[in-house]
Amino acid sequence: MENKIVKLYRLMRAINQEIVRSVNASTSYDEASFFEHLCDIVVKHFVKFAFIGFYIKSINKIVPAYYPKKSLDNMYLDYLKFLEISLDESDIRSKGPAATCFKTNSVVIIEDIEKDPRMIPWKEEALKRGFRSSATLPIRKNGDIIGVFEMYADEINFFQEEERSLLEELAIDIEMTLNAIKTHWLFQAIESGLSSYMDLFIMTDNDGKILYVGDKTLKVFGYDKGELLGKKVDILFNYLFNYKDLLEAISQAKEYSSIVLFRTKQNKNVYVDLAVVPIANENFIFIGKDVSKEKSLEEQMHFLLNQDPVTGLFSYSFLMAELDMHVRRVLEMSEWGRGGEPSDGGFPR
Amino acid sequence: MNAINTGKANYNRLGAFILADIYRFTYINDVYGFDIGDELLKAVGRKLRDIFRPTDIIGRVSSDTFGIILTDLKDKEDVIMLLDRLRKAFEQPFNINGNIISLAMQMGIAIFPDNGKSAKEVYKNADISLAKAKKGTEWSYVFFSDDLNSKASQFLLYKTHLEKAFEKGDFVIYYQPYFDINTLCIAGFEALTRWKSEELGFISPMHFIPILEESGLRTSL
Repeated sequence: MENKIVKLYRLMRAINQEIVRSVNASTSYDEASFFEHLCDIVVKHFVKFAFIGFYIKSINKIVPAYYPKKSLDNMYLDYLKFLEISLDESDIRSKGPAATCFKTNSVVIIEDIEKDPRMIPWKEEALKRGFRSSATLPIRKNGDIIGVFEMYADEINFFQEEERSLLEELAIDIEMTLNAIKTHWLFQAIESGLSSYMDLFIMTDNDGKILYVGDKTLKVFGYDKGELLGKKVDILFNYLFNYKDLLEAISQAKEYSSIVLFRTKQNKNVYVDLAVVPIANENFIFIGKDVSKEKSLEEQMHFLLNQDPVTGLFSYSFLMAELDMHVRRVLEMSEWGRGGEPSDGGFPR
Repeated sequence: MNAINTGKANYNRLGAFILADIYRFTYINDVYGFDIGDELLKAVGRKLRDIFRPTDIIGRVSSDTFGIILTDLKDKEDVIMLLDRLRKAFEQPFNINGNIISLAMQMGIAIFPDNGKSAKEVYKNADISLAKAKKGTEWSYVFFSDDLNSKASQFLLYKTHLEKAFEKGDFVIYYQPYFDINTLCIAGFEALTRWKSEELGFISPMHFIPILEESGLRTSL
């Protein structure tokens, strides 16, 4: 008996190692790779055969999708043709371990395939291949059951009810792994999209130190990655712009959005339609599009609207607006002289 | 932030608005045509930019009138100094496509905040001053004053009522006889106009005749 427990724990350990590996895997690792590896690993550790099947709603069946591809002969793989399992209550196979696991969303253990009535439809073929006990785990994604993971051992009682909680934990680990893979891929997709599309895409810590910089940002601002990583974000600041509101939002971990003037390594002005968003671990994402061209057109338009077409001097409307501003300013200064404070705003050059 | 604060501390609490009108500009258009007139306006614009400080704001407010905002003034004398500089700069005539043209200006000036607490008020008062300056000679300039304002207000008041007075027949003719001193007989009558307004009362011709002349209503009388 001890020997069996050691074997079972070694199996669990092998599965958990695969889970850890998948979470830390490179970008090429995906859900399909994880399922394939899972099936390959278990057959190397005392399990005769295993498969992963997914529920297909249109036919109301669980259909095998993944199975061990390495070091298994056709005798085992032939078993797959018996594993298209209907969930239709009139079908006897809907009482079997895979259908029950799917319907109840819980682990199903068959301690002795020969004696368990739930295995009647498959008993003959299973015994022929030396399968003596089985465990079926639910495969869940974001809390919803999507399929089953069924393992067959060549020992009676290799899987027992006593190990149910261990197997339930394994099902939870598999779910977490699938979620982690999804998040990882989602992040990869977002990161590569934003990195190549957004003109400004950087992540900083709460001291403003740059932790990440997108590829396009490097092109737009004329820096190499090494020149920006680890530097303070103010390396991109332009002395012509007042960053008071931006810095205040950051100090209060609030979101900020505005058109902001930055400068490139070559001291060129870049207007960015910027959003700064606080994220986890007191970090910030700076994301934005270069709107310098639009800004320049806007300034030209503004200038034309405020210009007298004959002399190039200011127009009547602009002059009146300026006069209004200066009269108010002078009045404020008079008030200030009598103890009042001037309000902020445009100040005479 | 520091720069802004320093600016506030040093800012002089006086500004001026000048309305500068080119003296008899319509003659120039009549003599040389509109193309030359426009070129001349451009040249005047360039000259104004050269004369005034970079901080002063210059614009064109109507066909031949320029508006200049002067900020950060110590006192009224600063404006006079700038006006002298302007006059000297215009001593040199303009050469527009080979046409040598001499120009003069007439100006009305309002100081703020003394002569107005809003842009509209300052502009209006500079305009009143300009109207007065235009009665003078070349290079005359007038600073706005309360007296000017009351005269302008009186002018507008009388002008409005005068227009109605014609419709209502408020003018009364008094015939004053004159005598032949040899015969002591009436030789004729001098007709004297008096304005008896319902709203303003009896108004002396000393007050309304100049307004009739200025506003062009004299012929109606």
